Amino acid sequence: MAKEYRIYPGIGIARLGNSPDSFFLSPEIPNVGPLEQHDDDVVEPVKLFKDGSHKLRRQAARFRIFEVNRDAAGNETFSEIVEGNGVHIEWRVELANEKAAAGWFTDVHVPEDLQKLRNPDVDPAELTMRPTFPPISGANQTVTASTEGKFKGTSVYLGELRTDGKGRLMVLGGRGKSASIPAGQPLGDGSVAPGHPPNTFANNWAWYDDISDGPVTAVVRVAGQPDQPASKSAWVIVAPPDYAPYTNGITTLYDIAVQASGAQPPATPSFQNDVLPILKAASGLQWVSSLPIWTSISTDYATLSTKGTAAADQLRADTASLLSTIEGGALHDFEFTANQTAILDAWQNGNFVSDFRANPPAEPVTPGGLDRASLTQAVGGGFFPGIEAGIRLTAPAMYSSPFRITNQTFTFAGVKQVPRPGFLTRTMACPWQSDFFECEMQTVSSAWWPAQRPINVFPGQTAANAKPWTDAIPNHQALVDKFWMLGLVRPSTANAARLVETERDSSIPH
Amino acid sequence: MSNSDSKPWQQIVWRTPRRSATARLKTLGGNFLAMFGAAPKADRTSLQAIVESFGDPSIPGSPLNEAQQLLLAAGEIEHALLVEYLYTAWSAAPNPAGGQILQIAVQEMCHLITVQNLLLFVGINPSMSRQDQDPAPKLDPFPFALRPFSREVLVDFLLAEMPPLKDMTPDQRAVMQPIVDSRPTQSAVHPVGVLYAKLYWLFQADDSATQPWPEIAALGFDPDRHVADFPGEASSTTFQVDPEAEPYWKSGDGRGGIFKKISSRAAALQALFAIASQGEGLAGANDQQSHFAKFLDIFSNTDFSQLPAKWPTDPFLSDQVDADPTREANRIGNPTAAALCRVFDLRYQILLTSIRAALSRNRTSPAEVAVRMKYVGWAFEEMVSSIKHLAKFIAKLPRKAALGAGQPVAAPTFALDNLSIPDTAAELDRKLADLHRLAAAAIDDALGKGVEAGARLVLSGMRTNDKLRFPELPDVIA
Repeated sequence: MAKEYRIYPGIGIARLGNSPDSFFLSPEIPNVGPLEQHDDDVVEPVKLFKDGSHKLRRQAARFRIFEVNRDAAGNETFSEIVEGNGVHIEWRVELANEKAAAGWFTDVHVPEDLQKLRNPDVDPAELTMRPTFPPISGANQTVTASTEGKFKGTSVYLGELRTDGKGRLMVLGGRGKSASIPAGQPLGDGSVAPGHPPNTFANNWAWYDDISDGPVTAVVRVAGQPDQPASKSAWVIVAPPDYAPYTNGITTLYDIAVQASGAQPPATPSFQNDVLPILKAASGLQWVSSLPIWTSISTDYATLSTKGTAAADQLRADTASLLSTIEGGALHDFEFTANQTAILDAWQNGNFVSDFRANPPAEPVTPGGLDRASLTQAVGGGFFPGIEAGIRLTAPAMYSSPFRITNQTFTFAGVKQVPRPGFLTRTMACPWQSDFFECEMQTVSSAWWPAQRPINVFPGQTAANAKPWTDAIPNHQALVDKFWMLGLVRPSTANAARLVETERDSSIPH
Repeated sequence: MSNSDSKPWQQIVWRTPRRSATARLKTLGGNFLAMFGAAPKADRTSLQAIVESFGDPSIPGSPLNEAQQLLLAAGEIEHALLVEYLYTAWSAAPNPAGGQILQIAVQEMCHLITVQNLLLFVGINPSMSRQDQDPAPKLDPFPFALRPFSREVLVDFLLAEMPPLKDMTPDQRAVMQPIVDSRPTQSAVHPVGVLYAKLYWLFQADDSATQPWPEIAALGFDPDRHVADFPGEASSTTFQVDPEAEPYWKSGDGRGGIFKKISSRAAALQALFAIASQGEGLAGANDQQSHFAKFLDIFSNTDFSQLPAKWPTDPFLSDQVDADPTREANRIGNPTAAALCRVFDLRYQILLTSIRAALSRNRTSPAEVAVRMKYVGWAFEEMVSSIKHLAKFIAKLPRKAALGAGQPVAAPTFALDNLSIPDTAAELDRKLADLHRLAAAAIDDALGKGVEAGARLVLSGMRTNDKLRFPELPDVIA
């Protein structure tokens, strides 16, 4: 029997916030959402997304080590390894932000134009923030960078490392600081700084933010045994906040990674596991976008999971027809993955397992569940450039195995990709607030990523009418200054089936 | 600014190019290419052969008038190609070739906008006319036609976009030579390539070889025939599309298409060369991003035995059965499909008119820029949403009767219905109002015909949006 150690999730997602110390955990169980951190492993959804000073809490990406035993038939069994009882785990994390040193983001076909740099007048080394973190081990530890990342010589805080009571790694990112050096440069409005390229939704001369990404590795030390490095390392992405953590993209980064892995769609899809997530995601967008399609999607899941009655067949046909309008319609630059399309086609044709359960039992923490929960929170469309990571995540060559970022060089869209800290996020908007603000500019019939960046919200537990989420945020700079004041969308205390905006700062009223 | 009433193609005289250029080249001998400091994309012999084959496209009058009319003709071709490519791309789905052809169609849209900028630069109005409104059977590589994806159609596209055989790589030539040989009556190169070569000559300041396309100087076009001044030069800061300063034109969505503001003679020359390099033949033979290279890639990687349900060729609407069985086979006789096609045609016409209306508004005028942005927004909404969705729903319907296995499907008609797009801002506003009134009636008619749920949502959304655009429209049917 072969034994190895692996880190899960393969790709963890931390998120920015301006609270100096308060944080919560990235989703670890599918369909539960972000969690409060408890040393006794009690699963508790986040109580508040703002701290006592009304500042936005950061989301930590937590990583665990699993001992994986594989029998002769290739079957794998997993057991988590934690600190103590002769086991010692040492973690290493590298983070970097290369956005300002990157080429222009042009579109999904030219995600990076190396002939047109964002800051052609500055040495890329001056624009790349790459702090050095010492290794971290033991329980309840905190490690900050021994050498801070710098932008044009100015230190920029990209985050810190912590461990929980069982020695699991928690990566926390920056505190949402975006600025220009020199100060006061225009942002995202199309204006041109003299002698420099015009600024756009994605490219802004002289600007930086504190997004980052990089590899996570670990060594397991068991008393009396040689050190054993984790055979599969992981990657952490520090992303912008998710302001609607209980809504999912219709296609998520999980779907994208599954597609990139070459996995085939099930011959006979399960309604519960394969179809329902798509339907729920689409319907759930009604709480963050006022487009009529979302409320048109039926939530009569029992009937939608039924075969052989005229009413059920008609409802299924109608729902499939409505879903077909999302591509090139309600969501910009959105495509179902090929597997999702195959699943929906099979379902529409009555080829599926009718296994709907209204109240499925809660899932435990599992390696597969960690991967799924982590990536399901991230958008898998609208890669223009997107939120957490861009179009390059669709490339099979991006992965060494499912949900694991490769360490091998490959080419994408004509550009050589060299995996290293900061390479995943380098083509994302710089700063992120620029694109985030711009994406309120949906047309009257389409949106970008409402599952992360709401368009319309119901402000209050029983509000009947939706309001623009960015009320009182008139421009890109205002979002830089006030990103932490915006409200978060979560289940209403009055009716958990409704999602409403909460914790909006009173200084930016609707 | 006023455009000639006569059709540009009909004014073109294809003259024999002068020999003087050849004579000059002979005196320069082998040093001709070296004197320009860069290897040309196609050597003088192949370029000259093409121009000698087609002739020199000439229009009497001043060089400026000639440039204006040739640009109008080029715009008609770009418009036609983008529609033809778009139709074929849609018809190919779910074959991956569809997405690749769609990318080329989008790039043709960019060419069309750049031609509008060039028209403004030479001092005349933009034009959204299409080749079939001004047909030139002798010159067209193929008559304007909406044709479903097939090997034969792809061959036509390849021939339309190909550079001279002599300039191809050996691998390219190995594929193309048999195709060319099998089409003895087929023109070797799209004549619009010659059109862009001639335009480049007219835009040059003088007869000397001019970068980035110095080979043009050797083609034997009339000496000393160049546009001296560009009456629309100021349009680069007023009416032209500026992709850098006007993000709402979404040049970033252009998938690498040539999308340029024309602020000077040099910028015009760069744009003409770039368009010719990306498509339409005569330059950029070895550019892997050229339309020729992309079509060749599709051609080489498509299994033509596995094609989707076949769309009609040149679908049209009529209540009457056509006496010609071939035409009748392409008539959209299904009332529901016909109703959706009618909506499609009107959305297409709104799209074209919205672009023209946007170009009638000065982007530096605070009072007009918002209107300009509004019309651009309308155009993109029709482009990326309305017509795309309608095409999808139309193609799910039977062309004639109930849909069953093997029954032919309907397809969008792209009819212009003698659309006449005015030039003044006020007339354009009125034209758009008229088109929306027609569209509202067409949508209500389609909704009354029991379309599927997704189509109902899309149509209702259009009606709601149209009501926001024109509050005077009738109320939306509940």
